[in-house]
Amino acid sequence: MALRRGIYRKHGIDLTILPGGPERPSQTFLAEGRADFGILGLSIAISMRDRGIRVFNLAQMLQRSPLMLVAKKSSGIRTPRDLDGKKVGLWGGLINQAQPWAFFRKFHITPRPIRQSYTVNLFLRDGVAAASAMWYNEYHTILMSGLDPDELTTFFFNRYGFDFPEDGIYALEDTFNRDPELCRSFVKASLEGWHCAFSHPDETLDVIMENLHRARIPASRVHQRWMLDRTWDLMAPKDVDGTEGMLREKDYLQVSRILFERGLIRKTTAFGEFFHPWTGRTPGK
Amino acid sequence: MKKNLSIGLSLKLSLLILTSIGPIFAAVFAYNYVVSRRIVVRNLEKSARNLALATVNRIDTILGGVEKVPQNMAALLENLDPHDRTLEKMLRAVVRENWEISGATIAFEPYGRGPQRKKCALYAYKQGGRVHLTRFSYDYFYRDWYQIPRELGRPIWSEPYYGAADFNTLMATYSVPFYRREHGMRKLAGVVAADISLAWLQQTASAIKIAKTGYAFLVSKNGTFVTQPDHNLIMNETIFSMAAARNDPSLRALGRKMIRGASGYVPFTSIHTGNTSRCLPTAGPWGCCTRAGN
Repeated sequence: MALRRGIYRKHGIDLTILPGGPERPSQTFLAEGRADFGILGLSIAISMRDRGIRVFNLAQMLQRSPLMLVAKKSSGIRTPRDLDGKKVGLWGGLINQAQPWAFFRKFHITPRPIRQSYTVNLFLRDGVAAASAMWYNEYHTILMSGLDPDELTTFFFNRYGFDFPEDGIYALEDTFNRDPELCRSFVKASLEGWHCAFSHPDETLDVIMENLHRARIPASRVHQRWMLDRTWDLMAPKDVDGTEGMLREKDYLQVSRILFERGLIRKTTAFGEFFHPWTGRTPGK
Repeated sequence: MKKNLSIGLSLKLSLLILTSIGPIFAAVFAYNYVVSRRIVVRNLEKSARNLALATVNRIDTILGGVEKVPQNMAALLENLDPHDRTLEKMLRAVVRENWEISGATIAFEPYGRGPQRKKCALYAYKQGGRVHLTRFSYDYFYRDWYQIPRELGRPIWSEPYYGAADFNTLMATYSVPFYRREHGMRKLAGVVAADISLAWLQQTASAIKIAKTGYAFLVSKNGTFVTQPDHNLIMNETIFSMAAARNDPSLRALGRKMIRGASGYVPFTSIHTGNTSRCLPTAGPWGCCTRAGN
């Protein structure tokens, strides 16, 4: 919407949105300098810093983790301990699995991890007892495949003390140092674009559907509406005030600690060295 | 005075007879209408049921023929371990000799063809009137066509998808896992798969017409529309997303019966006319629903 409504242009930014996806991870585009800005999950960004790729969080968009496990009640799973020894679909990558493994460790259980593909079909066909799902996406896909909410057991990691905030806007240190004003304008325009999207949902859905049809991706308006509504819930949780675009230090420290404890990062970066809100503050100062 | 009295009496008599007979006639007409309507509806539903069963049988016959091919290949591979060149010839022959099959794959478990070869998946496919052969370089182990039969330990039809070569062609894959004995243990060795175009399936279902407004539609196991008079719904919507969009619990209930292969007529509100209709779900690898006409 920010692009369609000319909001970026209004802020003096001429940009091209590069389509993402599993085959085109934004961390690669950002690290290789093929993109000036990228959307990353907090845990991915922290691990990039650990590997010496100096990415900075300019704005934290989603304040809450949408990651969850979904199981069918018919499989007898009602509590986390019921997952012990069961096949559980997990997305690939150790960083992506940090949250579920922290959850398993909390309950002293050892499920059998099965790498999950981009679909939830293995779960729908009973190939795994539980599947990883994003609340805004795969969970709704499961509902739209004929399972009712009361037939499902859900484990939201954010309710078990493992709230890894997802999407944030990131840039490389070089980009920030070279043009902090551009970073500031980009974040401002992006936030304005999101507000525009939430206040004009029908127009936003028209744009999304148009883009998906152009990319020849099967698309359901009902599903896209769910995604838009849940994104709003995650960007502005009702129980958290005044956090738009802000990364909370306690979230950052918690994610860093869990990644460190699991041996996925060797050191933690100071919060002030990682988060640079769009006020244009110089990194580390 | 006498004449007037006579007119009055005949009028009264006529009115009396008419008012007495009228309700009887009305009742007879109403009864006739209800009975006739029931007979017509019953005949329509019977016709819809017969059509649905005939269609499902026809679909099953063709799908059964397709299923046999990878099943036989899997049985062969459980007892033989041919060289790559032989596998290539086998795949080419399978694709060439079976009109329904547009592509076939033999894929092995990681390092199933030697310690140096993590991936080994051969794929033969038809294009431009010729059979081509290629090897998958991607991690096929985590794709639905490989992973689902692997984890379930049984053959399975994939969800429909658009072909890579022709985006307008709806495809589906039937995958069969195969096993070998290793140190006395039965161990998964790989998956054999056959791809088919669903164009014939779409044509078969689309050709069904019952009375003026009856039709049939197919959904996948996930409820995704495979055929529908409204082509915009195909692959974009599931019967459940349509139910959500229309806030129609009856449509969701119908969808749940369709993907579970329940039998018997189910009332629902037509997607197209908005009229209350009755639909007959039919069992099979694809949920078939035949809507009797109004």
